[in-house]
Amino acid sequence: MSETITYKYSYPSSLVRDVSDDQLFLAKYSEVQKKDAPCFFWGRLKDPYITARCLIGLSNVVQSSFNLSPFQLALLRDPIVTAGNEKIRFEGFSHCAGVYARVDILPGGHDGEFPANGTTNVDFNQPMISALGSINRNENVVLSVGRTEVAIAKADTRIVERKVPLPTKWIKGLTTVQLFLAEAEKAFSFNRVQALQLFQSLPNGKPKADYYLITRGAKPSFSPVKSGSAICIGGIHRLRLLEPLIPHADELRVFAHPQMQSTTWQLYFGNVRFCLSLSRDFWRGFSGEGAALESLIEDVPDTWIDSIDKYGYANQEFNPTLLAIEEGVDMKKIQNVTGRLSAMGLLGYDLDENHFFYRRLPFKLGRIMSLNPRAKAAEQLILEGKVDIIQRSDNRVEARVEGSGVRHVVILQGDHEQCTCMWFSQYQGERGLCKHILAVKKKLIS
Amino acid sequence: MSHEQAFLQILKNEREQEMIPFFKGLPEEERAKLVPFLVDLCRDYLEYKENRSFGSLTFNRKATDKQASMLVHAAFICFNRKQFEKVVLVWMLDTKKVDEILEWYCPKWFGDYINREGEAAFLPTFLTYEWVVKISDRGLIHPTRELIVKALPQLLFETGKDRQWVARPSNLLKYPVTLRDHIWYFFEVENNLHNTDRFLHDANGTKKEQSHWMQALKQYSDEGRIDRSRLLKESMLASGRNFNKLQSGWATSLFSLLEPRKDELLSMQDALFSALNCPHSKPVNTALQAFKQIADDPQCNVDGLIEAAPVLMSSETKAIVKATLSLLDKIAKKHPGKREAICVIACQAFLISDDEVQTRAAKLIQKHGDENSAAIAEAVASYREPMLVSVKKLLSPFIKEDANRNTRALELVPVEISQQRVHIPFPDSPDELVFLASQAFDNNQPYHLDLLPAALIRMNERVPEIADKFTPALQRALKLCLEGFTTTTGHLDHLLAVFFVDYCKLLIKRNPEQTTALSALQSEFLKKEGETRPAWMQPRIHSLVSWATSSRDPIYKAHKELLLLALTRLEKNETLPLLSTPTHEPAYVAPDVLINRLKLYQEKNHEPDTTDFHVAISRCDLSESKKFLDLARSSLQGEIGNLVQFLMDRDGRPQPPFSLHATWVLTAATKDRDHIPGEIMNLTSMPINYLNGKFSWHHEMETYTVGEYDQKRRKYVQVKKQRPILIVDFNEKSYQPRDSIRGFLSRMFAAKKQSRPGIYESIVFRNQYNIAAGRDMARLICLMPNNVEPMLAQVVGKCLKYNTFMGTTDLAIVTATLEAMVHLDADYGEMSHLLIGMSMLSADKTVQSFAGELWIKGVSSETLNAHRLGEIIGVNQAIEFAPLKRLTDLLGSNLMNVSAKHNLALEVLLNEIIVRLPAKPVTNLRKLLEIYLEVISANGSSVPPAVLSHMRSWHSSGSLAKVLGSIGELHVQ
Repeated sequence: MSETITYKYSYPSSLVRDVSDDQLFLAKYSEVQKKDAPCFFWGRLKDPYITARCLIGLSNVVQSSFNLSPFQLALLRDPIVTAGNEKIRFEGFSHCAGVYARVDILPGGHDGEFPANGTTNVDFNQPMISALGSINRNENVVLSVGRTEVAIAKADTRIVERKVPLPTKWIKGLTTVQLFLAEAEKAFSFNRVQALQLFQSLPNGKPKADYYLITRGAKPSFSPVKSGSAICIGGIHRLRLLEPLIPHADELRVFAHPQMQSTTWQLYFGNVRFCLSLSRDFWRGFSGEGAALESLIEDVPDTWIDSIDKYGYANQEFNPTLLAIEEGVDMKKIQNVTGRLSAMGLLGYDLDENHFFYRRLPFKLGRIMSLNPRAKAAEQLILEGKVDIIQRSDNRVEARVEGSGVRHVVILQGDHEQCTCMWFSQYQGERGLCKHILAVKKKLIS
Repeated sequence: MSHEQAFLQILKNEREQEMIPFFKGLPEEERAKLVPFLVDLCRDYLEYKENRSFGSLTFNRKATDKQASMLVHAAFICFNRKQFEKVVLVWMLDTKKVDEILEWYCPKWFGDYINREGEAAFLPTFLTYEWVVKISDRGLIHPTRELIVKALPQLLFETGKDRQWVARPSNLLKYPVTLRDHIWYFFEVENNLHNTDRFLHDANGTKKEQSHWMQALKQYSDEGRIDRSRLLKESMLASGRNFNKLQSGWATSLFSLLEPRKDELLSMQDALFSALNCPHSKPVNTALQAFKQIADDPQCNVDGLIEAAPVLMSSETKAIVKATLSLLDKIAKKHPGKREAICVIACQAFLISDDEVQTRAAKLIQKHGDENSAAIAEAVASYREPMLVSVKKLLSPFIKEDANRNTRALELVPVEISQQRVHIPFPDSPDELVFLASQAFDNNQPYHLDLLPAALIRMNERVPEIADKFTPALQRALKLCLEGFTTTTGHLDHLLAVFFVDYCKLLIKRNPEQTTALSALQSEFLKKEGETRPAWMQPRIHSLVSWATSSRDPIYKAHKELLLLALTRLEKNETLPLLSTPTHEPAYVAPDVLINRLKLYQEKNHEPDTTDFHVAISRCDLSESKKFLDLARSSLQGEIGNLVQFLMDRDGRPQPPFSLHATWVLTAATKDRDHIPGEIMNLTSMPINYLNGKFSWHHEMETYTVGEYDQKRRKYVQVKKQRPILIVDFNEKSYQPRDSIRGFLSRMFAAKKQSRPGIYESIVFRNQYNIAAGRDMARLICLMPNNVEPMLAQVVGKCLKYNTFMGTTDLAIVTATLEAMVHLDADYGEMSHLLIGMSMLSADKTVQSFAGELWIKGVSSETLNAHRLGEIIGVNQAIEFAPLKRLTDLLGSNLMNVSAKHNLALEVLLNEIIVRLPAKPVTNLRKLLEIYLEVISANGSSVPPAVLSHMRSWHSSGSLAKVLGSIGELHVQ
């Protein structure tokens, strides 16, 4: 990968021990920062011990990889933080883009101020992570996302600059996973004892087979055999990332995608939450799932994006219906908007509150928009005149689309789409639509 | 003479001593002008070139060793970094010469270059620590920490007489920077010091293994040359820096060697807390021991320890849990106010099904807990289910009976077994057929292999109008043919692809105008194949008739015959449906559908094809077949009618005539393999165990050779060892398959006409290394879902011979077999029991879990014989075929407390295992007995006298005394 992204932090993140209290300074960097906002949050953490453990858990996720080489592992990507609307959310992805994690510090979890709203990369360095491990429950810890003037005076002025390959998979996964979260439904809820019991049944090693979360009586366990209401987990060894947090959690809720394309494991610690989403299998990142593709068929007017970007603030609830009314847009079109905005990195999803929230990923929009090769390939097929609509009636469309050496058959019948290409044959639409179906749909709209 | 000529003369005459003065005498711009000339010269002299003479091939370079060295150092002086790295390997540099050059010239890139080389896996020999310090002192380089930690370990060692390594701690005093700055990098950066220390442990001729680096650091710390408190802190902090297990372990060992005092430990509690988060057990244990020393001190951060305890208690390492409990006990003694919180945390130990751990936690609660504390009572109650019986007794004052709480929850939780058959949708339009064809080679469903030919037969007449839509499917089939077998495709996918290519050929031949796209595609692939296939290789795109695996496995015979039959029907435009096409998942044919299909055959006066008929009978859903007896009587005539009635009537007797010998035999084996009527057995020469899978089996000791390192001789030697193997007695010599010459002759001269059902005869795993079998296994089992025993015999005999899998092929076959078994509701026979038993002893957790699930299912549906399974496992454990721990882990995690019914079955299983164990206690017997105690206590059972008397031989073992005593007490009660 030739293109790189460079994190430029004006100082390293650090935990500074003081007589009165400890200060956790998180250095921030955004390549799209609109104005100079030195500090997004400054205030006391009400449960510093749990917050520190969750941040260590997040750092374990962003440092993990389930299909990459040690060389690629060395090129760490930093998590991003969204501060605003009384909430602080830290998000990150594993290198393989198959595990997504988010730490939410809810309004009761902090006592501080938000001098500015926004989303930014934060420097996660090893000394800072090691220092987090020594935070105790009764300590006073002040968190600072970006530095206040006061803090700068004390600070280490060393500039941190790290180059990593442009994390396209990472960004794409970050945009896609929100749609999976939005579709997920709560499947199980366990108390701490049950959660500990469940994690005891995690198989050793890295099993290739799918495992299922089943319950026998009140006892949950993982089994390779599917039964009734079981949910399916591929690459189950990735769940070990949660193990250090389970003993602290009050509750574990498990959410599953209706087609079992992802599972989400949410731990609750009072006003702090830790959310971990796993892709369908360890070799499949969220980045390749194409959940947002259908939403990308229809263009969203630039004015909408401008208006959302202009008026939206970090962590604000996103209400598509309201947007439609305010902008005077046809309600039929609105269903694609959410997916489209999410694919552009403008929305995140909160499972508990069951709504999307606004946060603009700290990467150039051009980068994010170039991340859907299937959508681009579909456009290319139309441009090259390779899509023929053979038959079109109220409920049925039949088309031929040029493939490599053959003409694929695409049939759209009601909500059911089928194609004869290899991608569709293998995954039967589970990993998003193929470029041929996308091209036919796009042509029909245009 | 130009500079170029002058240098060339020096080079040609190898006047090495003149080379450096020559360059020194040139101004920098003159040296720069020499670069193109030197580049050419390097290429000419240093590149290795092929040299063929007298039939041999060698590679030589023009330069002599001296000339090469001269050119390398000339390049060092004149080249930029890119040019230099292109022609020179760092190993070719010579320190003396480089030093001589550095006296008057240092390339700008020198520092970065050396630092980068220092990050490589292996350091160049010239890059010693002493040299790095020297050039660093001269300001020529700012060495990175990575370079220092790579170079420094060797400083301590020198080679003495007879090339014996000598550790010389005084070397560390040569440079003040070493002890002042550089040694700390060992605790901050990933390094290999632990390995250097391990490999050179015998330096100085010491016999005892010792770490010279640790000793040296301790010595200088004792002498006050190293800051002792910093050394202690750093050695603990290193464990929190994500280093590997060995490096963390080395730092922890150093910490222990330094024997920190109490006051030192108190001042470094932060570092100790950091070590508690380490993923490796050694630092955690060491930190816990350290905390134990200071737990009594008022300065000890007791709150921090209580906060850290829940994570420690959930550790997978029992030693950590025990150490945590011990520490909590100490804190509870000293701090009465913390006792309640400590007791609540201690409850977490009850999740570990280990008597010692649970008892320790229970005693802690007993000792420090207040019986009236609601918090403790609640915590104890929430952990009641995994609590051992003996622990429940200990904690009885804390267990408050709750009227609303169901104390025998197990009885109320029956295990759900779904017997609902799932209907297989049959494509009913040409478009659906097109999409089925395009995915059939992906093995998305095991029945697609049957569905595609069946759908083609049904829609054969309509296919020409949609022929061009088959091009994507044909492209995939042709690609599969060209690629051959891969690890992601099974042989059956390839077989289906060959069938489809043949069918498309037929389409092209019959409908040339409608199949131009198909024809063009086929020609393209045939051309490609012609161009890429070596002359010696058989054509990869060939006809279905000639299809075979490379080892000609007979096991694929039935599928091939079915596809050949389908192709014949398609050629003849016959629309009669195949009898064997499944109607319900995974591969059952509904009885009424089978009857109606056969009726159609009789109406059309068409004899069923033998293989098709046999597979159809084998797949017939017999769960409620009796309901369809009347339909069979009224619909079917003659011998076939009799056959079908016999099949569907569980209690029915076979009615002659018996002209379809093989079919009668197969029907009887499908219906009830254990009670094949004598008159039917007379019809076949096939040994009965090939029909019912009841093969005998035994163990043998196999001698094998393995390479082991001999410490004394210091080399690898071949050692002969023995291991037990499981042999399934197939008696292959006495049983001659029909395709062998002896088999043919025996049939020719047989006293009476005898037949063998073809699909049973072909169940042979000829190629043990059939890598595709894992992908095919489910479909092979689906040939005979009512009687999988003969197939399982092959799986056990070939893939579970050893106590560990010899390769991924065996593992894939066993996993796929077990997975397929879960979806069938066949009765468990001898081979099912053997498969489940051996899989329970497997080293693979997934295989074990599948076996556990089959046991749960078998007990629920009462198709599993717990006595027989116990005997099988007992016989294996009697010779310690596999470590007993595998079984005890599975019992503890998957099989205990599933339901009351399962606990009773588990008791039977354990009784059978225990009476077969040897008089000398096997490893991990205590754990097995603890589980046994739990199970009989939960069941309220008494120990059978035979089991009790067998246990007497173990009474002399001290470690078993407690559990045997408890079992004995239970018996008395």
